[in-house]
Amino acid sequence: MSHGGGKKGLGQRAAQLMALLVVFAAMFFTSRAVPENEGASSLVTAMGFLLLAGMLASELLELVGLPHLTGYLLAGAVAGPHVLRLVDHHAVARLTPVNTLALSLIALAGGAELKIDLLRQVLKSLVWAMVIQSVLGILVIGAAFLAITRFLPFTAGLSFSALVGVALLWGVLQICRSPSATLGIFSQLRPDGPVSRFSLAFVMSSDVIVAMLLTTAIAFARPLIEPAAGLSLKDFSALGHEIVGSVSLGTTLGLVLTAYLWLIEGGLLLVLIAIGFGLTEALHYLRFDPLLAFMIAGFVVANFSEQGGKLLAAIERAGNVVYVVFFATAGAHLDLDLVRKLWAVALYLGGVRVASIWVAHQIGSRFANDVPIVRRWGWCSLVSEAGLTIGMAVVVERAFPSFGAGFRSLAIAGVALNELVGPILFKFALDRIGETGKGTQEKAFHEAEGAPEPAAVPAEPA
Amino acid sequence: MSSVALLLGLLLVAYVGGQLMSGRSGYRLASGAEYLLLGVALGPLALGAVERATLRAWEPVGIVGSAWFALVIGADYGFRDRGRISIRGLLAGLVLSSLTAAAVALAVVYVAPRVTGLRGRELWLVAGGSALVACETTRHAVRWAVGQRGNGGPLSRLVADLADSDDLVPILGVAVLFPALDPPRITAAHVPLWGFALATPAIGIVLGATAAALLRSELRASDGWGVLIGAVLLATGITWRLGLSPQSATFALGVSLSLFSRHGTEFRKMLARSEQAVLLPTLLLAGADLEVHRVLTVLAILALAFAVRVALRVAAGPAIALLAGVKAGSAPAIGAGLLTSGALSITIGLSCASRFPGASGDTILAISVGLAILGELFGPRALRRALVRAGELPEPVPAALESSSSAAAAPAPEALP
Repeated sequence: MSHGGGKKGLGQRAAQLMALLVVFAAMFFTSRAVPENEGASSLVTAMGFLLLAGMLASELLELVGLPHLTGYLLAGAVAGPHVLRLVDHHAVARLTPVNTLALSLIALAGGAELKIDLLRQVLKSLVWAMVIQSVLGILVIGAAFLAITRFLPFTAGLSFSALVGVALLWGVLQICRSPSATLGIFSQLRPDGPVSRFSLAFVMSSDVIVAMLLTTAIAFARPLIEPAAGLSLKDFSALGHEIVGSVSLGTTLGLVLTAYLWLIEGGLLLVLIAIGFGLTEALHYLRFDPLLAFMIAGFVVANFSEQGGKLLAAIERAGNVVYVVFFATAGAHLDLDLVRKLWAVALYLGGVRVASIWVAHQIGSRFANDVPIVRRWGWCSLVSEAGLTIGMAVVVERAFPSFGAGFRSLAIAGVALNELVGPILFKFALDRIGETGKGTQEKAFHEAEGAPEPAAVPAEPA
Repeated sequence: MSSVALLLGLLLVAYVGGQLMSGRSGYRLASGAEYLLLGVALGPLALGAVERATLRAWEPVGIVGSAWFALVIGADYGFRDRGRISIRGLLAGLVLSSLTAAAVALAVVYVAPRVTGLRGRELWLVAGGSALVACETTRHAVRWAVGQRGNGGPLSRLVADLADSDDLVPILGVAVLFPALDPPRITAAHVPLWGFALATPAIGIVLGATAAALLRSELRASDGWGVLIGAVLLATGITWRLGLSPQSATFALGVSLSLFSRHGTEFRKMLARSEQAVLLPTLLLAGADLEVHRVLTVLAILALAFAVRVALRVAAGPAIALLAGVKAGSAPAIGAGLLTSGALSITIGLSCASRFPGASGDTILAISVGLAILGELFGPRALRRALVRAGELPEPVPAALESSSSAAAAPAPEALP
């Protein structure tokens, strides 16, 4: 996702614009010439199109300072079933395996980025931020939700206690962050500094906390929403099984990967693909959390061996392709019709969420005695939310079918806004405080692939 | 077998292909027939470990794998090692391939109705498809035959050039065959056959030029792979959706990328490294996908195509010997050495089976598999013999001598610590 390194001249930008037009024109002609196509060809076309269009759009949006991730999302949204219909619902649905692979790579990379040293450095900030963000977030966002329930069709007819239960669930849902968006920004900007370290540690570890909080919230909300139901600890048992199982399997996978990287190393890309697809399937079957398991595996490789660099490099090589399709597909998934219907409510709730994140961050930073730069800018990375939030909304929908569908729709509308705004905000912050580009740079082709130096290839004039 | 299990199996094959066998021609057959046979053994035709429904779900992998292989051929077309192929090698390859295709097509059109009962469109499809899968010599054959011990003499070079250049004929042929026998039903416009035939490579050329333009400046690994994969998938998807040939489009994409990009050499290296990893799972899928509806028809057309192929190649042997400047005595062996067909034929067969589902498409795939196996039996050995006679390979050492010499060279057991 770090494509486009270095300054690009006007000629290169013109070529990119022309290429984007060619790609859109080719796709437009094909989708109009053969409109009804539910075969596998539409899947292949959609993948190629989203990959090229996403890369090109991100390059062009770079001119106005937007992150690549926004380019991928916009390319997908414009081409998707709600605007130009170049990529239809059917193709978007069939791209799910790519998302599976992308999520496993994201989680592996996320775990591998989490170094014990880094966690030690930011431990105090992390604990305070986690506690204050969770408590204040649930209370403030839940209260804001409760205040507008009379305007929401899916809460009509619910008693006050049930509304409190729904608000509690909404509050927990809204403290979800987006590991994928954070890693997307990291992959492009390669930042290093106090804010990026805090952001990485917070966003990656919040996944586990939010999963536990959601289970707790469902257990407490159930008697409020369905008075006949009592407080059940069954969900906690399932959660315990999920967490312990995922951590155990993740640790084992991490050790196996370490041994592989140490002994063999070659062909890692294929191994990662096999793990991404095969192991995810097995983890789903065992009712473990693939994200957690892969994150732990990455963490083990990075912290208990010297192979973390190799793993990250291999993930980056695969990820640069897979992430583009993943986010462009997410863009195509954005239900813009729904956003149009619910924009006012989504905007209000999104605004309250951002305000709550800011206030909670100020309080947490004060308690943790953070450096001024983290106190001022650290909150910017916490606004993004994406697939994890939608996944949890689906969990709520399954648990409470009576209002779940409307709840999920509102969550998706909120995600659509935060998914677009969050990465822009985070990139703005990193650029502003000068952390962009301070991390390690991606190797050029001849270094990464072992090809000879392209000495004869003159560089493009900037 | 579930889809995930099949995927893991294919990834394993790709891994083995990419890691253990790349660059070591001695570890595999020239045509890749061992993977085909493994596929046949696992497929519904033999053990039934993979069901047809699962194979259908993985059809895109076969199509994209075939298209990727055509891209590799296209990017490398006209090049060999670090230089360009010779004009006479190019012409020899194109002439021999065109003549073989024409002869096989005519033979099938003339003989098949009398022997098999094929008629009308089905006859033209089987004739055209058989001609295209029978006309090439696999580019891996010479590498395999020469191995590590060849001295790169004129015959090796000419045969390598010939085997590289003759790929153009089946790839362009399939661009015409697909729209000719089943014109794409597109809305809003009437396009003549020649329009579709030209549109197929044109799509590849436009996307190749676009990719080359995008990667004008410093080439980063992620950019290179991202743009290449995107362009190939888009070209494959568009042509497949329109009912055209993905392989022709990606071949043109490879040629244009190689011509227009200032990083052509690097692209060729990148693609060459990916070839085995993509090709072997594709061959495995092709083998598993094999379905013989009419055994007699397949056997009759296979025998006919092979006979025509043998006749033409043996007849071409003296001309090739003359062009290479080697003794005329090695001409029959040279001709027989060109019998090995391989990956390109099989992937074209797979494309035909996918584009024309049913007995005719499956017959073409079966013939491509049959020709690869028959070619494997005769071709590589004959080519080695021809190269030995031409003095470009050392005389093979008899097994008994070899073992005695190695025993003599080895230290006595008691001397070992």
